[in-house]
Amino acid sequence: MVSRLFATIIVLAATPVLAGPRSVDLPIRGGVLPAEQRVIRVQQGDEVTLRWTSDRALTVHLHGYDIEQRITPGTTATMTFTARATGRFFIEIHGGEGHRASTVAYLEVHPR
Amino acid sequence: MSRIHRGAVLFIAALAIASPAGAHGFGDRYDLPIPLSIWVAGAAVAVVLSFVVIGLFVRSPAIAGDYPRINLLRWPVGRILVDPRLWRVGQIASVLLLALVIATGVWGSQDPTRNLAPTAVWVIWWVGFAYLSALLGNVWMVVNPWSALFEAAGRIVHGRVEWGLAYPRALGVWPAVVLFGVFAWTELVFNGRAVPAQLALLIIGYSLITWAGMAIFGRSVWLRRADPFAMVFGLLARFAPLELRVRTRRLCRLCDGLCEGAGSGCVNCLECFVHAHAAERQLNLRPPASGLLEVERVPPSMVVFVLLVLATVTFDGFMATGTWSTIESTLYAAVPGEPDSKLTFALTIGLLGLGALFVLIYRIFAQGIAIAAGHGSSSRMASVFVLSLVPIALAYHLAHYFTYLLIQGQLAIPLASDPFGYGWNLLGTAAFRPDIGLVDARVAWYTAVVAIVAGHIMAVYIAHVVALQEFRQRRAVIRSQLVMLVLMVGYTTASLWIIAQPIVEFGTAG
Repeated sequence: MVSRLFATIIVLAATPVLAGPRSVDLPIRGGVLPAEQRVIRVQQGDEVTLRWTSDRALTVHLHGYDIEQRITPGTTATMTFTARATGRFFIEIHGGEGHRASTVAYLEVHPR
Repeated sequence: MSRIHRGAVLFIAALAIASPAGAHGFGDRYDLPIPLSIWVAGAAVAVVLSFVVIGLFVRSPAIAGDYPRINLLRWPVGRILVDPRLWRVGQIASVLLLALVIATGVWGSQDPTRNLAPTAVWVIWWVGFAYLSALLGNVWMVVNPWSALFEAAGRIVHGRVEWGLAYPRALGVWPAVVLFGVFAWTELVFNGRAVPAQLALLIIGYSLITWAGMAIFGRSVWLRRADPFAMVFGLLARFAPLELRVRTRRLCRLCDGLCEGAGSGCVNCLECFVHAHAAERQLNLRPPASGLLEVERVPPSMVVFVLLVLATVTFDGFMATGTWSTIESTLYAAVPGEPDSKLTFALTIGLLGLGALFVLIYRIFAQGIAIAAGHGSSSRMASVFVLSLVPIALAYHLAHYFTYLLIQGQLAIPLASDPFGYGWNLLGTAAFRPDIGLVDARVAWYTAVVAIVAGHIMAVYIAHVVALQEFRQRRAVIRSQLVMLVLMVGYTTASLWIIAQPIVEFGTAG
């Protein structure tokens, strides 16, 4: 009985948590995202797709993973990557009229 | 103020703050905050173990101020470590690196990640030497390029480089306090800190001040009383497992009576070590934090110096918390001017304020210890117990920079091939990209909490040994340590709190 319980626990612990696809729509308006979308939380190993739109032309830069993507109004720009490294990575926007880089969102990759 | 107007102000503030790379020195941090459960467990363990340590002390009557040491000079490996030829190689390497960093700053690409200067200064030197000093020994003392160049100049012109003006005793270590304050401001506030050309200028300015000071008052006096880096790395090296020791203090006139190692011998004083007879020299392995154990007469200026170092380390982490964001927005909105100067104002006030707060809180506790023990003045208490706080700050520092050093430090690999950012590939490593997955978040969390709790326990232990040496009656020891314990638990909990903060730098923009 006890050994069966342990066996169950071991099996449960050893079963890899399957990484899921995570697709997030991120509409930038006036250089900012809606408040609830400024922290994007995913799990380590997830296949992440960030789908960006913006009302003006700018470049988004995901630090750490170091992915840059140009966004033009009226089109959807996608970033696709596997979230293999844990941590909090900030996403900056460059360009636009301000010329000042600013943080538009954080990507948090939590360990499994 | 209308809501919309207020929102606009905060939004502008958020834009100004939002160069998140600039939380400190240079480079990005990718740490996830530690989960609440780990924070609570860490704090609880710290409190419980504190009482275990005190309980053990109540039973054992006395602890000698001395600590066990093993002289490594008995073995070849120890003799190699103190070989003058090895030291010379280290000094030449550090002088060449200093020249290279200034050259890349002046003539290299001004993109911070393509130029060697910001990574070399903020990651490799400032964070790297802090780790080296605390976890190995006072390496900076040996390889300090400014000291080595000044000594070489003295040898060339036969000692005529030192004017030898008597250093005014009343100055204490205040010059080092001021210079460290300027450095801390540069690291945490100055917005040109990652600009290679600005860094080169700062290094040149520091060189002129250092050499002028050495020429006027003498090299060893300047290094022990006015040079902020010799003093910071020296302070951290008190924690280290290695020490250089001269067995008797006969030679200590050379280091102006400011040697470590009260009573017997002279510890971590290069001049004394170099001039001592071989039979007098030791390279000792010792238990960690032993160098903090001795009750020394720490002058009031040195108390302020230690507290300023601790406050700076804390401010570095505190700057990334939501609490600071709120304070910063308030300060930001309180003054007119350009966004950059408003931000500089807010950060300067924050840094000065936290430094003053540390001094104030510590003075209150020193007074409390004097009252509880019924013995000694508060300034005497402040002086004897200040070093016992070092392990907490150090552990927090090591925890705070652990992933930063391992991840940002990797930039040194491509930069070694292309230090100027000209597109060279001298060593074939120019295409290397840092692996951001080198440290798992979970590893970082546990390392941080274990380090901070271990630092806390060492601090409690050190304060206790110091109290046993300072007070004769057991009652005074216990009562003084209960006050000290409140301060230490507070400091440790605050350190853990900072690394548990969900860092979001948006303010309430939009």
